Amino acid sequence: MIPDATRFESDLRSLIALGDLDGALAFIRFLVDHVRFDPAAIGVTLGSPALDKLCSEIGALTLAESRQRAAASKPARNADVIILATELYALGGHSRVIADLIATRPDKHHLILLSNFFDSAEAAAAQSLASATTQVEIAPVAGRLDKLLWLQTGLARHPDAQVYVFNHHGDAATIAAIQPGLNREVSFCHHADYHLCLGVHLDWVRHVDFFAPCQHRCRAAGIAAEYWPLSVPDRGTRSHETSSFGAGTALTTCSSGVWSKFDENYPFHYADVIGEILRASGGKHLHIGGIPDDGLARIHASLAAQGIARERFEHIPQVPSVWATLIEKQVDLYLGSFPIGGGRATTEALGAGIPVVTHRHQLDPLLGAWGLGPAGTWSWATLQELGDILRQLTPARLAEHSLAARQHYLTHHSPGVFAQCVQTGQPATPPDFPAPPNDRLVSYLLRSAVRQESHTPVIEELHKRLQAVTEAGGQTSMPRTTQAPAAGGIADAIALYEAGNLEEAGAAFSELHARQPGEPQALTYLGLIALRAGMPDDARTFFTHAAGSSKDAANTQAAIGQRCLELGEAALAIDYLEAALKTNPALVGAYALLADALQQRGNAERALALLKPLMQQTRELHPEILLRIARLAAATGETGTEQAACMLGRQYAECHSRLLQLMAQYHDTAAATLLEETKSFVEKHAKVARSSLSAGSRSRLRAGFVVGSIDSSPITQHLESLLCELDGERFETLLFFDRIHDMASAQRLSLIVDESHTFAGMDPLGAAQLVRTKHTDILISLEWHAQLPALMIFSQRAAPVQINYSRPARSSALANMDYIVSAAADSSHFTERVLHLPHDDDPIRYASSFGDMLVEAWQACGGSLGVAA
Amino acid sequence: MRKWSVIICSINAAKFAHVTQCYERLLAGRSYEIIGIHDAASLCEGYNRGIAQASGDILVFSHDDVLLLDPGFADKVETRLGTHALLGFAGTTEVRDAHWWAAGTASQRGAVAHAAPGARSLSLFVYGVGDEPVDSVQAIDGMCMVAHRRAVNSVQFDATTFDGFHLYDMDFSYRVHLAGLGVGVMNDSPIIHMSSGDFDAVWDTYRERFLYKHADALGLGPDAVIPAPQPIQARAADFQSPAELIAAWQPRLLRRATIALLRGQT
Repeated sequence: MIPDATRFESDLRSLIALGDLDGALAFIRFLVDHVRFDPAAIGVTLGSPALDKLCSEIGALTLAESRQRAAASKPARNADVIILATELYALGGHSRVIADLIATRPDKHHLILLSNFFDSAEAAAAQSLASATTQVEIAPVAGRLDKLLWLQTGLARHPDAQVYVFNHHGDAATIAAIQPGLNREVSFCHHADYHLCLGVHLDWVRHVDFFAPCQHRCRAAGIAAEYWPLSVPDRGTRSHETSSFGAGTALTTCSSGVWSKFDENYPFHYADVIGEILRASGGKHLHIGGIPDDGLARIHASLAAQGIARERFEHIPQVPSVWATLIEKQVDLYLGSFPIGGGRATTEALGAGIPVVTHRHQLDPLLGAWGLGPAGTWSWATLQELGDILRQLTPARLAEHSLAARQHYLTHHSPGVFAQCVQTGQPATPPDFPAPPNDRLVSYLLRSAVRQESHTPVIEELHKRLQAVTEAGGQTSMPRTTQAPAAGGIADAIALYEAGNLEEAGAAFSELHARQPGEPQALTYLGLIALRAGMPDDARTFFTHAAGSSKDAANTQAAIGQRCLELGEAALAIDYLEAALKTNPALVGAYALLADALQQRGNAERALALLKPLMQQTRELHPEILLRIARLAAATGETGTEQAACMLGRQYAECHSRLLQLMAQYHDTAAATLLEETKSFVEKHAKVARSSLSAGSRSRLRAGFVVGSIDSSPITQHLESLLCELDGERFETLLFFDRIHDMASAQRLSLIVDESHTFAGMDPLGAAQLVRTKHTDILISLEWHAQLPALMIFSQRAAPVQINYSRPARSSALANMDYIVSAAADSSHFTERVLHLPHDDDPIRYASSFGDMLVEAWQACGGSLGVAA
Repeated sequence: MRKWSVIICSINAAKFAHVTQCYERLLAGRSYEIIGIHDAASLCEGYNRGIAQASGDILVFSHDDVLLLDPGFADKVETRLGTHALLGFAGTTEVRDAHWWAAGTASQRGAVAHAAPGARSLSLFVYGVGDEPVDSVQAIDGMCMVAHRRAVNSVQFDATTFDGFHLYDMDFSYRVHLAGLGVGVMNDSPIIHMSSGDFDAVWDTYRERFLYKHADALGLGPDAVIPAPQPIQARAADFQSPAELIAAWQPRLLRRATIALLRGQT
């Protein structure tokens, strides 16, 4: 039996009937968020008539009180237009649409009411729209019910106003606040249009879409959607002359948008596609918009792996106008962001007369901004299609599309068209819209691949909440629990929490709190429980009280930060860890946690800047700090800092190992010097006396390959090729690995090896024992000191023959490494005996020689092949 | 230019639309017709009706829940039908029973990806892949069978014996083999099958019919003891996307997986 998914509606209605309006609003938001953050729901679940109706029912219950409050405080000036939004941003599509909306009627008095439903409204961004005729008011930080009353009171004060609603997806207070008859006319402006959004199905409001494809989709869903085409100011066009377009090496392509539009769980990633674009276009690619450090590193790594010069990719983090930049940079072709398209940026490109290519998202073509632009606009769904488009470009075709793009802009997206819709209230006629091409089977497969497990927990949590409220006799705004356990100590309550029994843990901590008001641990855990129940506002309240009542506020704040980080709430963790360090800068552990939180938020540079000054201290730094500095420096490309940290932490194996890599990789270290440092490493961290295991007679040799990480690196690719080509008659193959970073590679390897085993979590002795129990005859290391856990297996004697096959060949200096595979005849820089393999770049050619070599090594240590064991 | 006739028995409009789109993409630029049979009494009856309507030189008998990922599919088939009158994606070099894997892993041929309803990944099953892109076999699985016109001119589906939805494929392909027309399994053309077979009591009934019909060819005497069917053996791996699946569908990788499969059975 699976839970009844329709139960949420009756549960919410019961919650409303019991008077827990705040809880009902919270769970509506919770439910929307869960669906919204499921990648498989994108483009499918766009609205819910049931949730919209529930919001309306909640708002109807508060209407009388809101009207009373409004009557008690008349406004100084009546507003002609009210814009109801959740929040505004300095950058952001809907904020600009609101600005355009206001600009169309400068003679009207506008009032912007921000629900601040998530308590994250940027006051500065909101006030940027304020003027003599536009007033901005932001709801105070408060409960959800308070926000609803605040909004509704604001609306009730201006019954003659025309209302435009720009709510964020889960802003239940805004949708509850608007009520039939409360204001003159309400228009729901559907800007959050590819995820589940509240308000989409309200049948008594005007439903406005800003893009033709979105309007088409809403109409298909039975909504009387109107088309008010989004406009952008006209900043002129590029030349449509054929001679003005580059071709071959002169072709300039460009993409723009916030990084989240590119960084999706999708069959291919922008970072890897840039190389494809550059190979096909032969020119240069620009990216306008912020890219986090790790994203940029990924792009550069991908370009390097594809042999494409980094200079052919230019990153422009921020520009005043995408339109102007496209013209200034003489862009020949605009590739809309993918897999998620950007309507406004694409419209700017059309206006600038730039030929446009849109992406047909494999879940739903419209998500990739397919359908924007004139008929015949290029679009692609697969890399093959994109490559074909780019390879078939000619200056003449580009000029033709350039002209069509500009014409389309003038007809549909120039400011006059939008202004006319707003001023007259008459919707525009959308351009002809063909049925979206979509391979629904591919969509299905992709949705299956990205789907979240279940939304059952949300529905279950809601039901528990209802039970709690029912038992409490209604009207509660805090999580209640069904049963309070017998009085127990804090340790018992923590044990309940750690065991995942949040309900009982909540009761236990509540009881502790009742007995000992202000007990900081109880308050901290109550906050964590609220956080895990999706109530960050309540969590903050508990945390603030916990820190305030603690004798050691800094440590309490650090502990809260640590627990938030463990729950994946990096932003919250940063707040508390920063507060902890402000109170007590000597909390070294808090630095490490804060660095982790910053890195999780994509801010590795700031994390490094936080930790670097600690290296100047005279006292010895904790290895965890040194390792973090080294890793952050590696991630941000600060090789000097990384080397300095590794040098300082040389007494720790990981730092020393990394130091060796740096010496080998970044510096022209003499082979003799590298060998000496390697010997020093082994002396300090891996000193084990040479030993032996006997070799016997075998009908087939069991060859074990050891890698630290299965990923998409050249080492894994080389291993895959080698395993495919190694003679199956003479060898059985075993794979020993520590971690999997690329599941597809791991799956391919699992197909072709006879056995695969992980040594994750094992110490070197345990891992070596695993290798022995699998009767491995020859153990081969494919990495040098880059993968410490893997190499340490070889320090023990795990197999009768142990071979170092690092490429390029570098001595391991381990006493128990018998051989090294090298193309060079000179053996002076190796502690191992040399197995000579002249050419090893193509496993198809050398696999046979490699096999012969393994057999020779086996025979050299007394073994034989061809006789049954 | 040779004409293709794609015959699909389907009572599910959505699946029919999917598979039709797939074949339209694969056969774009060629002369082809899609023949939908939406009220088949049995697969044999439906396919025979399709054959009667078909005007193509190449006939595809396809389930409605397959997805072919190989853009070179049509070229390969047109070349290979010269040597094999019937091509499929999984089969056996030795028919011993009514299921094609009855003779064991050494006789299995082919590779197929499966995506069970609700599954989060595509599972590649390697049954057996040799050195050549096409292996000659005695019988094939019916998820997608491609026949040259000369095969259906000689052999029709046996709608009398196989009046349901089981074993029409084993019977048809085995008889094409027995007629000396050549049956092959292509292993270099990625295919996804969105379901697996039902081996229930109904299947047992048709198994008896199959064994009775082919007793002579199979060398089964009246007292022959036929062991109970065993689960199919394969090397399997899961992939998250069609692109990952295609990347794994390399002949050398499938061959090496076959070596590991055979070794695992000995």
